[in-house]
Amino acid sequence: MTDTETPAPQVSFVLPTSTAVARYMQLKVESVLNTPYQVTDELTPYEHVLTVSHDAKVTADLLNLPEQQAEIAIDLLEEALDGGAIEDAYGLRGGVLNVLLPMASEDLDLGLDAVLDEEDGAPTIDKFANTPNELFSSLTPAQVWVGTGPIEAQLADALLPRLWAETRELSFPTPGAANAEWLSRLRLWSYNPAGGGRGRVIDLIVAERNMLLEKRVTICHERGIDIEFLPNL
Amino acid sequence: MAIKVKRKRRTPEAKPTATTLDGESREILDEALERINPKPDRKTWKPMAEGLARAKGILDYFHVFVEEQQDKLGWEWATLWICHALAAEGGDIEFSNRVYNVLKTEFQTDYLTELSRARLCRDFTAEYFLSRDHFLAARNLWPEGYEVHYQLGILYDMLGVPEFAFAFAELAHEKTEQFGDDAFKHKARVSYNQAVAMWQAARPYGDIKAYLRRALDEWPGYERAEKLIQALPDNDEADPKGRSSMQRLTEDIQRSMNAPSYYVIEPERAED
Repeated sequence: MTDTETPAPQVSFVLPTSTAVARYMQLKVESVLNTPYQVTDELTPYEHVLTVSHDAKVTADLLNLPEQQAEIAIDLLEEALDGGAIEDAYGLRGGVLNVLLPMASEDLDLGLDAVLDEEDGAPTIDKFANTPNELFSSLTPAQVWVGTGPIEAQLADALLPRLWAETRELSFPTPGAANAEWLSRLRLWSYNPAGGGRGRVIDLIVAERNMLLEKRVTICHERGIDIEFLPNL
Repeated sequence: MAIKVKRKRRTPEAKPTATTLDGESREILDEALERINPKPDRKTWKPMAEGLARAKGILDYFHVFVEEQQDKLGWEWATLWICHALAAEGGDIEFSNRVYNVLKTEFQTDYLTELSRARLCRDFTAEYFLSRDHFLAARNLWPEGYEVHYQLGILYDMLGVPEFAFAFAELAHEKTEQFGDDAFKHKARVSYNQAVAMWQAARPYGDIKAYLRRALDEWPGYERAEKLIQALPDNDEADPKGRSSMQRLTEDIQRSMNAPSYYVIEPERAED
């Protein structure tokens, strides 16, 4: 755990679907990898693996994560070492804005289809990577690729237990119906101020992801690591 | 003098158990027949299906579809078609999945079947991307349909893409005339939804108000639009601090727990 941040209190809550649980775990690991720790030389684990260890397992072991989270962390760190590929954005990624969505895959992405098929008017892959995407709640693939940041994880930990408390006594005909209710509340939350006069939740999330993206791309360029698409900075 | 042959009295209408469907399709048809009352038969299937089509506001499409598919459609199709629509909209996931598969393999899918399927995926199984695909299939089958554009607007609202939600609502707005005398209500509700989508996209209050005014022009006295426009700050510039009051007002567009769509913006069914 970082020496600069107080550990968040453990909260227990239930998410409406197993996909949401898997997505939540993914966002927690992503936020760990984007947070600086003493054990990783005051660098984020992403920065540590790219600039110090060059070994995903070595960096992940420093974090002392539970086994399941460690496996996710190793996969993400290995992806980082390989650079950036557009397909890395799919799956369970996308943070709190996407936590209630089904798993995204390339074959569901109509925009990517158009790019790969070189349809008339389709953008280049670089432009596509920086275009808000309907599979990612209007985040761009590049913003998804860089991962969840610590501010976003804190926002998630403030929201999700609250949604659980608000809905736990309600009855739903199916888990999917509960998910729809949660999603409606999540959207409303995201379009409103986060509290403390910091601006809208969605704007805070986008700003943090853009900042992380800028740092990661700079490191990749300095280290000569290829990024298949070029995020617009 | 010509010999008249008295026509033999016709045998009673064959019961709807004589069908060409077999195997699993037959089993599902039998299950559907157990669920539907009265049961469509060779005489009644068309008016029964027509009744549902009228209720769903797709009568024009229905007539063309039935005309084109007249060799294939009959009481079996009507039984499955009606049962699918009702099961999907009631959240009977397992049964509607099975009926959908029969409709798809034994007949040609149609606008309402794809629309109902899309709503099931959106409202009961949380398969939002699959829902999108079924909505788009419905849209291809009947590009003039109001409902599919309206529902796509709701889906994109849930997906967090307010620009698309706004655009599909605009397309729905253009197709409201199919509701005849009730068109003004549908227009106003769509305009209201567009104002909400603009708020979500952090557009200036002046833009949001323009759509609320349009809603009030279309339906003078539309209470929801009146409340929202009164709550907006006088300053037409976007102001994050002003949004907390909007939050309270827009909480009422949250979905009802047991209703499959936003209760506020759910279009009324076409009159029978």
